[in-house]
Amino acid sequence: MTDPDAEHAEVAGWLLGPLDPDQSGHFKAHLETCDQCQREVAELSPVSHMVKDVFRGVDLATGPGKTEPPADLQARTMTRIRQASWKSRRRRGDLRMLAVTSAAVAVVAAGGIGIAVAEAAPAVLAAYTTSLHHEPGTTGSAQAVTTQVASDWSVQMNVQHLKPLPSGEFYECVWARPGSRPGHPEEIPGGTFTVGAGGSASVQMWTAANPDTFPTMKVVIEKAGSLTQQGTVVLVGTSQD
Amino acid sequence: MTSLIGAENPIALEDAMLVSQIAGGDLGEPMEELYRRYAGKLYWVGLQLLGNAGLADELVQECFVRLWRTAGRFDVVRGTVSAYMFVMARSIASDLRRRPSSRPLLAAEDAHVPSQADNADQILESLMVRDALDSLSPAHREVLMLCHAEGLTQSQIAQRLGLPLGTVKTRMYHGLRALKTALVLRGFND
Repeated sequence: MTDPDAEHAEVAGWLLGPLDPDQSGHFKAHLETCDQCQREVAELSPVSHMVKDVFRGVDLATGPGKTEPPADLQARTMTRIRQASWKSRRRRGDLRMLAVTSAAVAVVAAGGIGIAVAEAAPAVLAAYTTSLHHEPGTTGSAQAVTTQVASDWSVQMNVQHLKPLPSGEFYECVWARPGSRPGHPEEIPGGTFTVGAGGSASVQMWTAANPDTFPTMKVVIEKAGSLTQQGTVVLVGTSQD
Repeated sequence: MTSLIGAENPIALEDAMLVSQIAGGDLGEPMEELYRRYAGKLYWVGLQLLGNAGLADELVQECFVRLWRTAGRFDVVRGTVSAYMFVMARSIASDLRRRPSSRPLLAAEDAHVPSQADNADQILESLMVRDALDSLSPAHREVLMLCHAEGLTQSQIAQRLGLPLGTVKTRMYHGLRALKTALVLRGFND
């Protein structure tokens, strides 16, 4: 213990302990005469107490990081945020429309000539959510949020636990009217996708299907080159306003 | 303080950049990355404070919705994202506890929602210290964990890791100093 730096570094061992008995006695003697180490002990002592408190009586097997939240919580959380975001944008869009209208009225009333320039962000006119559950004999689930932007329908869908498909096969989204049935399908196909080994995917699609008219959303397995649209239904759900 | 985050805590800087991206309107990968980093800890907080898996589930969702709503107000100079989220979790737990639907169907003796948040500060402090420990370099964290979790002396740690005793002493000293800095960034002052 002749290296000054090594002596000062002993502060941590002194505070956190346990030091070996000979080290402890040596540092105690050093501490009585070293102003720097006395300052460091005073400064770092609260930190060492906090660390000791954390580990005192804590079951490390059930601490933070050892507890897994439900597997589908992430998808539900992201869906909730998107819903909140779209509602917020819709409100802002409504206000923007009102502001533009008011500005136009003011220009006409003044008898002048002007051009009102609106912010380019499109207003969301309607939003639907869909929870899709797996059909018997299949696995997986999905959550979709469908929003109307101008005359188009945008679909953001998160899927979990779908079976990875062999080469040449893919999943396809289909929207169906009430009463649609095999042999008399009233359906509009949408985007296609595949999943990785984990069975998850985040899919962004556009469709012409209005959820008011085509409320049933399905995920089916299709084969490349097949035009029958009669693949196995894996997931199904109903859109909710 | 900003330079401290950038120079000594790259994870905190990454977190702050992710929040900045969310504030800019990106609800995709930045939000999912922060979820991966903090959902487990927040869920644990929910279980500790609310004693109920369903309410812990709700707490996690509400935390991330509030993060999205307030991302533009997050100030990196005032602390880390992790501290921001843990304090937010405590506030949400308090809200959930007061919400009537948290316990409408259970008789008082059957309800597992703690009646008082007496231990909320202790749980929050515990979580922040653990989070601060997690932010240390592996070399610093390792010696501190062996000391605290397993109660080893410095000589025993040196033997376990195959390191000179002086290296263990130095790592423990600098680890404790780094931990102090990490705690200050999480709102613990001198």
